[in-house]
Amino acid sequence: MNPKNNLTGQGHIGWIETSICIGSFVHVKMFLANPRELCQMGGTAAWMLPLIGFFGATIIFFILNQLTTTFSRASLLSIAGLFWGRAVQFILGILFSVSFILINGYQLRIFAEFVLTTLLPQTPISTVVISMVILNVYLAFGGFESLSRTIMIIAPIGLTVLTLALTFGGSMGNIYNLSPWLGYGFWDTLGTGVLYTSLYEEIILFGFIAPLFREQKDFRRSGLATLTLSVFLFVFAQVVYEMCFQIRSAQQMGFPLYQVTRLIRFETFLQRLDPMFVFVWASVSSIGLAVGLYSGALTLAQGIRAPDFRPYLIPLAVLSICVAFIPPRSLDAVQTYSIMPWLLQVPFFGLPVVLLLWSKLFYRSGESHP
Amino acid sequence: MRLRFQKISLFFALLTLVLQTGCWDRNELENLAFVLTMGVDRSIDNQIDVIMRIAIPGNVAGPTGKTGGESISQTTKPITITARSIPEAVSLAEATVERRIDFRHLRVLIFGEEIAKEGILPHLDVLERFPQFRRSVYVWVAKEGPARNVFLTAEPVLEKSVSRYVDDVARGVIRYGYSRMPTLHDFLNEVDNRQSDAVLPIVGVNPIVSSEKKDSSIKPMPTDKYHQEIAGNTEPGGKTLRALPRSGGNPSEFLGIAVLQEGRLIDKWSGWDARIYGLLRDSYRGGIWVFNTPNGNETFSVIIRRARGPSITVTWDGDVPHIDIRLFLEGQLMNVQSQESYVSTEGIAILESQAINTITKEVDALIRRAQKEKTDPFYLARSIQTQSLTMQEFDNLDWKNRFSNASFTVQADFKIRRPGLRIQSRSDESR
Repeated sequence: MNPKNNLTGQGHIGWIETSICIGSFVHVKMFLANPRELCQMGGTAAWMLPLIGFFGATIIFFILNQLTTTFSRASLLSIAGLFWGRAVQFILGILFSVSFILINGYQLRIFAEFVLTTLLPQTPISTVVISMVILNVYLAFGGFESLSRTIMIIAPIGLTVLTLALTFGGSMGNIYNLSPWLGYGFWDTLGTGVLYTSLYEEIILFGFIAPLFREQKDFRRSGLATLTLSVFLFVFAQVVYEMCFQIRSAQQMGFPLYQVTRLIRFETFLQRLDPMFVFVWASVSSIGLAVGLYSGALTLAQGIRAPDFRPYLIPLAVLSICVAFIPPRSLDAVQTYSIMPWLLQVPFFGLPVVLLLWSKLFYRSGESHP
Repeated sequence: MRLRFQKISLFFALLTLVLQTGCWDRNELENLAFVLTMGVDRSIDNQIDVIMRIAIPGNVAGPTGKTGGESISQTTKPITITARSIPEAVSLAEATVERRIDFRHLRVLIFGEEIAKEGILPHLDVLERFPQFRRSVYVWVAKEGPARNVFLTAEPVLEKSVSRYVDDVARGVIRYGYSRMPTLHDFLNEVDNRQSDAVLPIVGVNPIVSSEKKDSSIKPMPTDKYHQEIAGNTEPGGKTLRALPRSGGNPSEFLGIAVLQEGRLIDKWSGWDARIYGLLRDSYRGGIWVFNTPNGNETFSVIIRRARGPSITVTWDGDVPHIDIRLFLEGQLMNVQSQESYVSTEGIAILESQAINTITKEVDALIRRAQKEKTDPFYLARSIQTQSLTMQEFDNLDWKNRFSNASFTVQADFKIRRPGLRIQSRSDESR
């Protein structure tokens, strides 16, 4: 069976489009409660956490790169199937699919809570969630190439508005708020930074879409560009957020980046820019959420060796809506979502590491490739 | 299959559009009552008076071909609701105002002095939580009385739009420096800093001008009566907390700042003190200063601008800090009342020296006053903050106690860069 079957009809992907697309997926959390959580964990040194996590994520990516080089850009689940058989591939497929749907469901809920809290207080949450999911299904249906093409339309506007918003926001801030420089201490910051390698756990998706790359160098370029873009945006946003809010405020602020944009005010000429930011934020989030849904369907299809991922999109979207309504309160959603990445980095980062070790210790190159 | 799926998705997407904001969250301008300014006072029976000034949009612009209202009393209407909290007052006000009350255009929140002494943080919680309030709202404290007095008496000289009036006042404060105009965001950031205290501008109601107000217009009193009213007031305006000696104009005046510790009013500083505060806090940008000439008979005036931020260095002698403060100022000569010939390279240095002496004395006096109160609204710990490595180290500093025992030195670098459009005064006949 051709392991690339479940990627049939998705075409090939360029490294720039993929970087921006997966970068959006990684970055969705920054628009939610992530800057506040980083401040709670890292204090004034919170901006260093994404930087420290970046180094851990780069190591994981190089492990992915090594694996895909060895196995001619086969998907991680195909490699797992080759090593450990179909049953394990099936279980891992289910595990990753559930993980992506959990992430997607909680992100959906927090996104909807944001919309209700700030813009549409009278609108039922189900309307917001279902509208978003329908959009996500529509975007994901065309596969990764379609997603990446869509993000390439939004990216220039999105990046410009985000950069402007953060630059203007930063000019409202104060450099003193970044000190004391080491937050809760050097070792504390380092330890928390390593824990926050989970910020980049979505790069595991490279392991599943590897067959879509024409060449290995595109895969490598794309991964490194994704990480570089993500770390830049994470650090930039976090520095601006911390400059704008005294650390004790920053640790309690709801929807942090939105609050930054609400501060922008240059006399009467330039103010109330938040609606513009919300538009961009919603656009990038919808792509990010669609990538999440796509990832769930793709890993499920790869796990069960199905020829196409599309039939699973709608059932998984329904599951995602169900997950979104599990938390009774927005606080519960945020609480669970903040813990989830720490737990999920075990399978997300663990699988490539174990596969690499297995390939080095037990796999002989004469055995059939997946 | 793909085409069919896309058609179905598109159908659902269009269907959900019908259900979007137009149905549940529509905001029709003609259904909204915009609150432009709000006041909070201590009322009877442990309740609060919440005063809301609601815009009458039709009167701001006026019907086609006609001008709008002549004053803010014609473009807005104040209502006062007594309740246990701001949210309760808002909900009760909804029952009396025919349109939905909306705070998205709120520009200022004024607290009465009594409630400011009790603490304003409990009343600011709603402003932080409820999305209609923006952190760019200004917060003022009424001097010697309830905020409601400010609402009832305010009569801007030119503006008929309350929002523009507030923005103009905020700009004016930066221009003359007799107060400071932090937004809610600035204030809350300062409150959250354990090693410093916050300030808010105080808005006073001038009793003379207030007595001149009749039916939304100010009718200045005769000169004799005016002189009787101001008799005995020998201090220059702004030096103390007393109302300015003046007649006509807006009864509201913005001189001085309220010092708040953990959100409670603990002291009020005059307009002159506010400028010194601004120099130390680095919020001062410019203003006209009047000094006595070295012989003490007359005055000279200088527009003093901040050349660059103050340098503050803290060194330690055991547990006792020593604070070295250096101010960097520059100026433009505005007048020499005495007509003496100071405007030469040697002579102008005498004026500079006189200004430096006066400023350093005032800085010295204000810091000592703050030390007595164990308050540091100047945020002098900022240099320690940037030298600290960990938050625990900085949090355990106990700065306000240590500041109260600190020794300090103050230096000011001041140059009168420009003499204006005339060189020497008339008394001097230079060749």
